[in-house]
Amino acid sequence: MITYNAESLDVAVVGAGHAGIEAALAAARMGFRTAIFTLSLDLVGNMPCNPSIGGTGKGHLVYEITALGGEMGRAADKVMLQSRMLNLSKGPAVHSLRMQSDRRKYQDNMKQTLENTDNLKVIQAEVTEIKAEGGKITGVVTAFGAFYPSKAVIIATGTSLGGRIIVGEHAYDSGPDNTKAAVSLSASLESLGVPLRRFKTGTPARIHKDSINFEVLEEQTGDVPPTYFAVESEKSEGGYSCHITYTNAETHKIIRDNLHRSPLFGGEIKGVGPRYCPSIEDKVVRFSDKERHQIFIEPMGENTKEMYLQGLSSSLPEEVQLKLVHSIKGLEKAEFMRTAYAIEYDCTDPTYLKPSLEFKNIEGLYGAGQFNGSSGYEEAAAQGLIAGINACLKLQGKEPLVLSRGESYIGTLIDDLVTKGTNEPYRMMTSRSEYRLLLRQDNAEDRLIEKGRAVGLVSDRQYNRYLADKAAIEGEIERLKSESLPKSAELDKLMTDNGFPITVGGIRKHELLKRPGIKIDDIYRLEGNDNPPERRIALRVETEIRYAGYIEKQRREVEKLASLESKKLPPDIDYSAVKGIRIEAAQKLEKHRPESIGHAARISGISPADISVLLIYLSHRGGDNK
Amino acid sequence: MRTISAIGTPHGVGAVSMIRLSGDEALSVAEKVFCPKGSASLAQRPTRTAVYGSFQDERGAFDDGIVIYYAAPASYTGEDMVELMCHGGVLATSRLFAATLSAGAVGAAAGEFTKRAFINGKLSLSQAEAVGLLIEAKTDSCLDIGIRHLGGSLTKSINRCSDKLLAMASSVYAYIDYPEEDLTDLSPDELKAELNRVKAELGTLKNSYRYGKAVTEGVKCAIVGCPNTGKSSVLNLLAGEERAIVTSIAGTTRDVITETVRLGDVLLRLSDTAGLREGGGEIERLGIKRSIESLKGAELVLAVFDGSKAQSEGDNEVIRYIEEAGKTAVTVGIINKADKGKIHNYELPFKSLVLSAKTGEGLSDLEDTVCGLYKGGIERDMGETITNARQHAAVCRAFDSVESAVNALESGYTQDVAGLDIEEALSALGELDGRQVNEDIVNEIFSRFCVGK
Repeated sequence: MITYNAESLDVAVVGAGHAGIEAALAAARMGFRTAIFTLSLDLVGNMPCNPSIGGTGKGHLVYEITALGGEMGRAADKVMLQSRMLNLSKGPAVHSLRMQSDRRKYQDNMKQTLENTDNLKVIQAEVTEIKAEGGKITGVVTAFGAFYPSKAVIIATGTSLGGRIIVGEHAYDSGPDNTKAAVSLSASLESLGVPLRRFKTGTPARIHKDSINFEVLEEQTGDVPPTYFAVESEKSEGGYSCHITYTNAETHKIIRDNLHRSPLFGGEIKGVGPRYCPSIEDKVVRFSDKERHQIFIEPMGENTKEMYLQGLSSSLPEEVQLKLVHSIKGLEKAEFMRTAYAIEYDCTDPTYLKPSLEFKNIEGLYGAGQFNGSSGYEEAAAQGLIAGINACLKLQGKEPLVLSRGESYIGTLIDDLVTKGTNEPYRMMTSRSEYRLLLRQDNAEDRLIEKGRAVGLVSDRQYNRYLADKAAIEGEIERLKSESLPKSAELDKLMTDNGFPITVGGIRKHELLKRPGIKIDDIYRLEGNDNPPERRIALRVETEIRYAGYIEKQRREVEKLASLESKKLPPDIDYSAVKGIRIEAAQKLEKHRPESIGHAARISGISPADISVLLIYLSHRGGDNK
Repeated sequence: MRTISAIGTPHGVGAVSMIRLSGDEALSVAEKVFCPKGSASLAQRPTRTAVYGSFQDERGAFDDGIVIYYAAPASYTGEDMVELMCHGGVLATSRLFAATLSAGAVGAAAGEFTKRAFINGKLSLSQAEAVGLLIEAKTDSCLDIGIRHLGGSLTKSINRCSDKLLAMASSVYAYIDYPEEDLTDLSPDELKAELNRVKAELGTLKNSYRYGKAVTEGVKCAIVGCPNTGKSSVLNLLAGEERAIVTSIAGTTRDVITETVRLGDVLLRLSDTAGLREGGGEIERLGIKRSIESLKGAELVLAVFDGSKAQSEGDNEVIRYIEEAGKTAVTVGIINKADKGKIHNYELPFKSLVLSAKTGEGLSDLEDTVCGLYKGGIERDMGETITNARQHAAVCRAFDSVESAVNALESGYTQDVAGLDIEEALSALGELDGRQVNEDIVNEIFSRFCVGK
């Protein structure tokens, strides 16, 4: 193919989904000449599945992205249709914000943000080839023959890379939402030594709002007042509802009768799908004793009547899909606008990546998002942000930004991916973090803002407000520690109402707040405080005081982790020569080449005994050096 | 790995001795010292089959016997192994052992076979520890425990607790991670009830260490009492009469020498302190004074009184020392000299029994009483017994975490907080058998709950 030389770039981002957007914005905002390539400018920031941002574990990721200076949370705030804080009754550590979002407005908003960012070119072109020389990236080539010399390339291809859509007996090459698939890039990546494999995911049907019988459905409204991801953001008011319905015996019968037509069970689909987002046929087969499955009906946006049917992802033939949807209460007359489909795509094995998300074997090549084996917009955005930051830090000759498990869900996500690898699209869950009480949504800025600030992504406005918040929180905690409430009839009543014996005299305010059931508002009421701190400050104070003991315990765990992480494993270590190590362990360590003892301990198949052997080896080696 | 060699049977006279080889060169070492009857060499014979032939060294054939070759990985250590059976007795055994060394093997370090088995993944850590128990078994109970551990039954009982904890953690987290799915929540009350069941099970395991330790390591025992109450006779009765001195171990604490004697199932480590030796030189008013330290460190106190005399002021002082040391719960009073006829009534703040150190009358009572103190309701053939400090520490940590989870729920904390404690308990137990906690929970969520995005 004849190519011509296009302009030189510092960072080329391949793909303009949620990972690509954060990567490109971070790189451009850090001052590097950046281009973001997309197969279609109408695809920028698309949500090809749920029209929502956040959720359990994912909400945490969005707060962390915001704290580091990323874009996702701000965009979600602006186009929010409904905001709900999940898990309110289950403890502050697992409060998770989920926002229904206007899909179209989100895309427009993100596209405008890209367009209005300095140093950033937004280009509609298919990247067909990645160029490298001597194990080092040199640039990217587009289908139109343009060669863009680039110092770093970030692959964020989502489900477009080698994408193939399957509906029953029909299958065709396609990216999400019937867009063009990237068909040439896979071969180029493989020739560079990037291992590829096939994953699968799917999405349910979209139906016409007017064909739904809302009268028989359960309504779920949003929180009033709504919560937002960012303090400094334009905010939509929301006010939209979701609705709930259930599958039934008839639905399940239709599915069972037609299983032979499912490409999943017929062997047509070879990619590995996520266990947490199973298709409805998968659910019916695997959990045959369940009498019903819940279906969530979500609005797609203000200017559309498309409605999303969460829980009904399927790759059955359209004819069967229609029958099964029509068997569900409230959806008897549902009119399909988009048919549910399964999609297979190429992605890499993330254990070939460093914690910086750079490929171990190709300098300057980074992976982010679904390409790395994850699933979900938020997981993608988090990795995109980190890949973008690290590509720039490398160009600046600085150490990469590697967040630890003890300080963030983002660190946990990336560590899980690059250390353990994944055999299915990886979803963030609160249960994946060992340090949940420390990693709350409400303290994301305490954990991460300094790091975002150091790389230059956090605005003065956000940073100064954070400093003011921090001072206010600390001041309020100090105040509650030093002040007491005198004995009073009101205090006695508060104690009795919450099942505690009445106090002999007064009580320190923070002691009172430690008792379960007592709220900070009770204290403000009892002390007659008509000028309490802002809501987010007050709630933080309540959590910090109530969970102080547990928070301290987790902090100690984090310190232990840090000490294991600080025991670095030399890069030249020959594991096969380590005396007494099991062959299997040596092979695993050889493959992963962990950076520290802590990292090694998390590799699956590495036992505590192997770690002891390594520690002994390290201490001997240290001795030799002395 | 270098090929190691060791005499596998005890030193001394016996009908047969066994020498074991393990390592890459095991077969070639064996072929140098053993000439099979018939034309086929050892390597040509099927493995794991007894082969008859003669043993030889550079001076010629000196004995005949049986050899079995185990090809890796189907052997105890997972390496190539050979077992050589020659005639017993010091001479033939040491000549054969020496022959293996000159044929290229090196002498094995203590526990090296088991260590290699562990490193090669043939044994779990608790199984490896159990082998140590079997080898060092000093009492029948110890042997029992060792055999049961080897079968993996301690592992099973720990796994049972782990499984229950895992099920709880995964339902807590499934509910947290998928709040809007149609899942049945485990209510705090149900969770509490289940936690208490696990706590009870862990508690039993934890307490079994008292017995496990008593059986395998022995309990530090101090014999105290006024002069001439018969402490030495009691000591002799325990040590001498039964000829039950098993071994002498250099103490790790300040004890100089500890004599280990067996009393029923329990091993007693009798401190050979000055306080127990009387006669000669200057005798302090109460012999006990010099053994106060030994009393403080004791896990079992045998307080000896002269039953032929009435309770004296000296006896009361002994009792006060015991009380001050906080040892009444682990003290057994021995009203000695039952052979002298009339036994006086003693008022003691601890269990007591009547004994004649001279005739041995009452010894079985002493045995029952002491064993009762350590068994704490555990029968020998039921339940699992923890025998080492590592296992005990892990089970204690798990127990404390489960307790903390119950407390958290009781004081109104949310389930996610209890979940952390459950995870901690799981990771403590995981240390015993190397399970990876987070992975397990996530897998369990997906396998047990039908959850969507």
